[in-house]
Amino acid sequence: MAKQKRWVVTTSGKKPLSDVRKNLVESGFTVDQVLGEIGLITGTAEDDVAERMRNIPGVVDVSPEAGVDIGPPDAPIT
Amino acid sequence: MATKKTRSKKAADASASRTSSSVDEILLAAMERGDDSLETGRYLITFKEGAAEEGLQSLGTQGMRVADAREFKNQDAVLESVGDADALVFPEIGVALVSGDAAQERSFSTASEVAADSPIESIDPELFVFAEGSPGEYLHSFSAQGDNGSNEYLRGFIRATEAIANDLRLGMPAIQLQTEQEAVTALGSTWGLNACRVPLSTRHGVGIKVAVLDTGMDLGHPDFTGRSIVSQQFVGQPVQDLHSHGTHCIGTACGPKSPVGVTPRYGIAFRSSIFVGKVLSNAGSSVAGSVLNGMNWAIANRCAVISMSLGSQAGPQPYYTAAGQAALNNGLLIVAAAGNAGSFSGAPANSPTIMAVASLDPTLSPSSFSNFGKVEIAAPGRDVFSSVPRPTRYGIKSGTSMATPHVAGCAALWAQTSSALRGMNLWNKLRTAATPLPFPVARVGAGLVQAP
Repeated sequence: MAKQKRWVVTTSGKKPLSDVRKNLVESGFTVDQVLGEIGLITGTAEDDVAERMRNIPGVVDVSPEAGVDIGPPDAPIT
Repeated sequence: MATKKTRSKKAADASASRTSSSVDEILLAAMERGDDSLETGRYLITFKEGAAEEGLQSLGTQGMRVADAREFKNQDAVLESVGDADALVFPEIGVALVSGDAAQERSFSTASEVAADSPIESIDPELFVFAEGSPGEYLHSFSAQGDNGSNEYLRGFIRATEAIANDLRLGMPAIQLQTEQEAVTALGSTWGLNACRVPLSTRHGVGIKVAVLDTGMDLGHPDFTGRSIVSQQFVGQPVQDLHSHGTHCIGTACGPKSPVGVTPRYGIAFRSSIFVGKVLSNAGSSVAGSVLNGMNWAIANRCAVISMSLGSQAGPQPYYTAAGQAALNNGLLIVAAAGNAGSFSGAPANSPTIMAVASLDPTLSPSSFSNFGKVEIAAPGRDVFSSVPRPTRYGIKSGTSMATPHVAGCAALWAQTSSALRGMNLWNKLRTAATPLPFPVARVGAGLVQAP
């Protein structure tokens, strides 16, 4: 079974976010968050699903979700 | 030798089972005890329903010095502050915390027979509580590593707390620290605020919402009493900052004009409205989804300035660029730390719609760690004094994380000067008002940020 990964979908803002979300779900994307103010949808999918999602109208980009780390409290430089 | 060891062990135990003992002391004693017990040495007495007052009096009649949580503001009794009290009573929940010595003197133990007419429901040993997970899980994971698992954990915990203490209080060479303190005492403000000409500004950021997306904030820090604070978490942990990074950044951007005590001024927009978005866990880590959720929240709340002292060494991410564009479209400005890898600026600072901040040393030269390339502006980032969570209250940190809230604070002051200075206009104003520095634009951008 292919591995589920976390993705962030950037939309163009030219189509209603709810429509884009619906199309993403239909293509196999499990939606986690719909961030209306910034036109982003986060969620999980396998690689091939993510590849297909790039062709959905209103989708500008599909990128893997990056991690963020500022280090532990005692990090000398943060 | 054996006798001596026993004595020191007993001494450690005794000092650690007071009601006022710190968690560190208790953990140290538990480590020296060498068993896998999760008992702290103190006892919790639960009173029968409605019998808390009677119970409190009964402790007094047994000769105990009793502190009452109601004597503390908001009943947020800090255990370290109850002094030599034998017991600390929490009337709201009908429970008293009793020191190990006081319990032993009165032969309290969990096996004690409790008389039928006693106000006491039960007497139980106080247990350690660890973050994220039950003691059972810890025991299980440590038993798989051998008998000394708990000890190793406690040892590591204490090493970590010592390192934090050293970093915040003792880590700098004594002479350097003294010089630093002399400088701030003489001038009344930190070197960073002076470099940005904040003390000369008549602005304070009133009416400007400043969002700081970080590890949260010590919401009870005395320097922020009475301030307008809106907070939200996005990582499944309370906003209360158990890391210190968030409290430090908020201190620089929004801290008070006159801190409590003889502390120098370290905060810029001292009358701004503070929006605390906890997008980083208490361990200082997160995922982009949580960060984006926080950005969405700050934009929905129309925070004119959004400060992000976080990132990763990755190329520009389309989603951060989109979030930055959404902010600018709404007349809001996002500033972000360029990063500390001594390499190319990381994400989200490398997005063209987000203002990247580099770090300067007190000599006003770029800090060795400060990333370069996509840099819009520079600000003080080395040896920055600001607030940290109680009980330490203040500490010195270094990084582009510390430079970023200097820009955020100055941005709030500029935003106060004119309602036209929002979004891209505010971005441009910060850059044109900056003091040029004799270093490449790739290192310092337009130069040192300045207050209006």
